[in-house]
Amino acid sequence: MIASLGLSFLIFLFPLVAAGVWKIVSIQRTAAKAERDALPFIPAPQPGPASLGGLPPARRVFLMQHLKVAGYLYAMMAWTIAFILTLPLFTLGSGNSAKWFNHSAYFWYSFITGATHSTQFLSIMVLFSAIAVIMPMRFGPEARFYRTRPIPISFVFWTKVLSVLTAMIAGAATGIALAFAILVALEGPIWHNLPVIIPRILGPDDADVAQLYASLLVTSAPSIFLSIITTIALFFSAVLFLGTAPVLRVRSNAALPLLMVPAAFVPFAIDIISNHSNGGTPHFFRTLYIYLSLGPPPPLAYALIPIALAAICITCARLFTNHQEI
Amino acid sequence: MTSYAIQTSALVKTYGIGSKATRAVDGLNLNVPEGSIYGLLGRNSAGKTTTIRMAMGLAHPTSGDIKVFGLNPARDPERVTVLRQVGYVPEDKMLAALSPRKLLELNRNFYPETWSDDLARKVIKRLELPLDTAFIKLSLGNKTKSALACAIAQRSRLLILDEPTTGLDPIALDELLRLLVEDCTAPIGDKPRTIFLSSHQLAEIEQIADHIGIMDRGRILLEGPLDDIRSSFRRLTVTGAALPTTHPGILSIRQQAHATQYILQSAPEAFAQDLIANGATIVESNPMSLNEIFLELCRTSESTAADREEEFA
Repeated sequence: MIASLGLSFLIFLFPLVAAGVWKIVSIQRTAAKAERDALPFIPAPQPGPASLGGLPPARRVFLMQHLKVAGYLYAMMAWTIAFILTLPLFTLGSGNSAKWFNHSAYFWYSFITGATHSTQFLSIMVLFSAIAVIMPMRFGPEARFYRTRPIPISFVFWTKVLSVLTAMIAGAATGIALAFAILVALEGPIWHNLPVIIPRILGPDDADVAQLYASLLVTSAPSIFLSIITTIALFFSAVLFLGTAPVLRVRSNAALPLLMVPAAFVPFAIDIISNHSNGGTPHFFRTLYIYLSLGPPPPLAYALIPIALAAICITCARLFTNHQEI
Repeated sequence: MTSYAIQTSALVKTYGIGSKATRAVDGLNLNVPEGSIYGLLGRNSAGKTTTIRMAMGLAHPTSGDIKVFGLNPARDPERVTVLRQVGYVPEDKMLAALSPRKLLELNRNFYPETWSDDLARKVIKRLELPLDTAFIKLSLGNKTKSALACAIAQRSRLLILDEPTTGLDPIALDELLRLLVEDCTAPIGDKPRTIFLSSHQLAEIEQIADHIGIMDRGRILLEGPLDDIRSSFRRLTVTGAALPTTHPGILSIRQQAHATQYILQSAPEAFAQDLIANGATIVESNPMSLNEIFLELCRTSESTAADREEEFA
């Protein structure tokens, strides 16, 4: 089991690491060539795309840089989600599939369980993405460079926040769509083939399967996927809020990374809390539309709560950045 | 009427809170005339960098006021208007973690109206800047050159240079001073250009600056045209009886073996004539170098601050 997980993790990491190594090597090669050639300073003009033509050149350059980074983040997010959701499809047979009465039910169960578990894993990515947004606005050469160029602070903030948030949400949506496409390609629309009652072939020893199946029948896949997206927005904006809050500014800027480290433990806290809630999603998480385990979905209206909280956190963070010192 | 590139009034910047609060800038009144090369001198922790950071909008005043071209550099949209007209070299010379070529290419996009590729090439050549060395391999001197090339090629109305000579060898330093005078002072259209540089290296400032401000403990001790300052400071060695100990022009008095040494900060000729009229003999009358003026002002400021602290205790 551990060997299988290790192999899966390696398969997950391989394209990310390979892309990173390729990028670093190509940058180093270009730099070495440039150093060898000792070319004079003859910069090429930078015409932006026509759709950005209305923006002043400074903003266009800044926006283009961030759209490029957002592109990488989008690809990474889509790959991560697709991998998490489809992983069980490729590792079936190592578990207790023999106990399941119906092939489609087991596939669907595995797929949906992967989706509910993705929240913890994604929250780590979201936290680090949020930190990656905050740090260059508060610390170091990049923060100072852009803060001393003629671009409005609001433009810097919204470009960074919206490019990353949009890339993550769009990446998640793409990953979900991709995973569904793979599921349908491999197994067909299995969610249509689920018996609506628990079959009698399940005996007293199979109570756990019966309970899981009962939970599976009332689980809403669209709600889980909506929850992934609202949770990304909520976590991201909460970290953004914390990272820009004036309470951190009063002390030292060095305090920010130290305060961010505990935030990285949030996913583990979620895991612990959900494990101690008798299988269901705890009420607090349901209120925030965080859908952690099989069972009935939170009311759809609850989805507005994380969206509203995210909007409030981002608005506060925007106000805080006006007073930020670098 | 004189217009000012940078002007501060009763500017205060405090870091920390409660008993740990430190006043980095303490009621600063600074006037940097447009068209001048203004050297802000001060010891370490005098408040120079904090003042510059406030001028660039990187730090916000605790109280008081700072204006750049009459605009608030901390609040958009005025801030953007200010930054469009300012070239900046920070104290640690780290503008962005890029090779000099990448940094120049990036920076030129922000100043399409004023940027000059020719001037960038001139600075690169004169300062012998290695264009394609990776940022992490750049020496401090080359980081300084890289930041300077960016700021100079912007052809801004105002250059703000925080310790711009850090890490430069004597040849590069000489080239830089020449570049600043030759290429950064000619007006653009009808707008004069100003260079505001901070340093505690007095010799280099003395070579190019026409205005001086001396800061200590967050306050300005002296400010004005360099020539006026030089002519108003004088060291007099005097012998005689009943020599005066108070006079508005006296900065400090030292008793030597058989004579009294006066350091005068204003109207030295009139003071000398008064002494002669009262029967004193002037043994020596010497002009003072900027270095001597700076040291004397800092020592006096230190003893005044110590006296004040003693009184307070």
